[in-house]
This record gives sequence, structure tokens and C-alpha cells, in this order.
Amino acid sequence: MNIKKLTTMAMLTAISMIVFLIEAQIPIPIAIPGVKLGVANVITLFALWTLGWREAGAILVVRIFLGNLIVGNMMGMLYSMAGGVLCWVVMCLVKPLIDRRHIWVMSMLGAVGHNVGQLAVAVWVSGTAAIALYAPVLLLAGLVTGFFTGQCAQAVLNHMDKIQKGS
Amino acid sequence: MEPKKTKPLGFWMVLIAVIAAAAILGMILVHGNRHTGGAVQVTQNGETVGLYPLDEDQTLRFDSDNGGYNIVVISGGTVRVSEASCPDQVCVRKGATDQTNDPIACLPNKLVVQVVGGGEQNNQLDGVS
Repeated sequence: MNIKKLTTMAMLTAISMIVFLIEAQIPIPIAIPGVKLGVANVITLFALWTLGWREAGAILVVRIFLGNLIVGNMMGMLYSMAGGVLCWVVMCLVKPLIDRRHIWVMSMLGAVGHNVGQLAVAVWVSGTAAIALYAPVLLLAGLVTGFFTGQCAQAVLNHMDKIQKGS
Repeated sequence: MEPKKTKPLGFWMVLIAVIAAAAILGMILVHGNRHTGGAVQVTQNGETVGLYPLDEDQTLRFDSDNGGYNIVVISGGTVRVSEASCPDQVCVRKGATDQTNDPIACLPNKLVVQVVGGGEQNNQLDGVS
């Protein structure tokens, strides 16, 4: 691993943690457990396209661990980790099949994966099958939030392309 | 880099449409199977810790093993969580309910409050299975 890659990964981890922490302070109008915008996924998407699947996974795991440690939500870490890892797996699988101009598709499917993983852990941890009743709402929420974070990642990547061409 | 393997946008649109349709169908089923219940079932760590009649006003406190707590209020035929130790406060903001198939979950404290009974007995998972 070269120094440039290492510093890029460190910087992306720092950015994703800042995004994660700021997002944790914003109250969501919908009172459904697990629904949030998930802006930090923009960084995961960006890392997947510019660095690779291993690097994106490493950034993701470090962000979830440190981010939840700072917020002080240990149960949240479990849900985030399950969701984050499933989201990452889905996006890694989908990436080779997707055109670079359609990153929002990857993001939407990833967000659905995130919410499914999170809900599965919630059912397991709470030991209450009734929690699964949140599944339809969470699927829909994943599609909506995934679309927006995907558009963000697309915009960032397009701009980075221009910057790299110019340099 | 990936010249031929990529699937056309139409394929993804169909896949997303299918997920969205399944989600909307699920929501309709969950909402359709709701009815006014008669009792409040409180579950903690997967075990039922109490069953309380919905028509009897009372305030209950549930302490969880991680040091957290939830205050559950039954009043006027509805149940709500009025206070919780968790940071996200999702269960408090969810508000009151008297409907089955409408659980109030406090995941940090592993507490689930559900309205049960009342009209005809429904399997809790009918809506999504």
C-alpha cells in the first residue's frame, strides 16, 4: 500500500466520520427505527469507485466503529455494522454490472441491503418478530435515501474526474 | 474497465420497481391487518415481561440490563412511550397507538411495546410473510 493511497483512505475515513457525526445530530421527522439519510455512504461509494472494494470496506468498518464510539451508542454500532457490511457486500456485487453513469442504482440497492441487514439484527437482538413489520417502510426508505446519496456520489465523482483531467 | 458486462439501465429500473412494489404491497398488508387491540404486551430481550389491559390507565417503568429505561404510559385507551434513556428517542416520537401490527420499538433498550388482542386474532407476521 503506497503512501498516497494510505493518506487518501485516512482522509476519506475522517470525512465520513464527520458526515456521520453531523448526521447523528439531525433529528429525522419520521419515527421509524433505522430510517436516516445515510450520507456517509457517499464516501463508501466514492471509495468503491476510486480505490477498490477492500479499501472501501476498511473505511466503512473504521467509520462505523469510531463514529458510534464517539456518539456513545453501542447498540447502534451493532445495527450500523450489520447494515453497513450488507450494504457494502451488495454494492461490491452490483458494481461490475453497473455503468459508471448509473451510480445511484448501486446506492439504492446498497441502501436497501443496509436496511435489511439492520432490521434482521434488530429482529434477532430484540427477539421480537413484530419488528419485521417495519420491513416494507424500511425498503421504501432505503430506495429514497439511496437515490439521493447516489446522486451525491455521482456528482462528487464527476467533479473529481474533471479535477484529475485538469492536473 | 467493464465494457460488456454492465446491465442496461432498464434492467435496474425493473429491479428497483419490483422492490418498490413489494414494499408498497407490504405496507398495504400491514396497514390492512391493523385493528384496535385490547391489551398491551411489553417484550424485553425477546421475553414477554408484561401484559396490561389497554382500558386501564397506568404508568409503567421498564429498566433494561444495560442501565437504560423506558416509561410506558397507558391512558385513554392508547399506549405510548413517554420517556426513554436512549439517544435517538425514536420510540417517544412514535407517539401513541391503539392498533395491532403497529409496534413501538426501543432498540437500544431491546424493548418492544405491542398492542394485542381486541377483535379477531391475527398472526403478527401475516402482513409480511
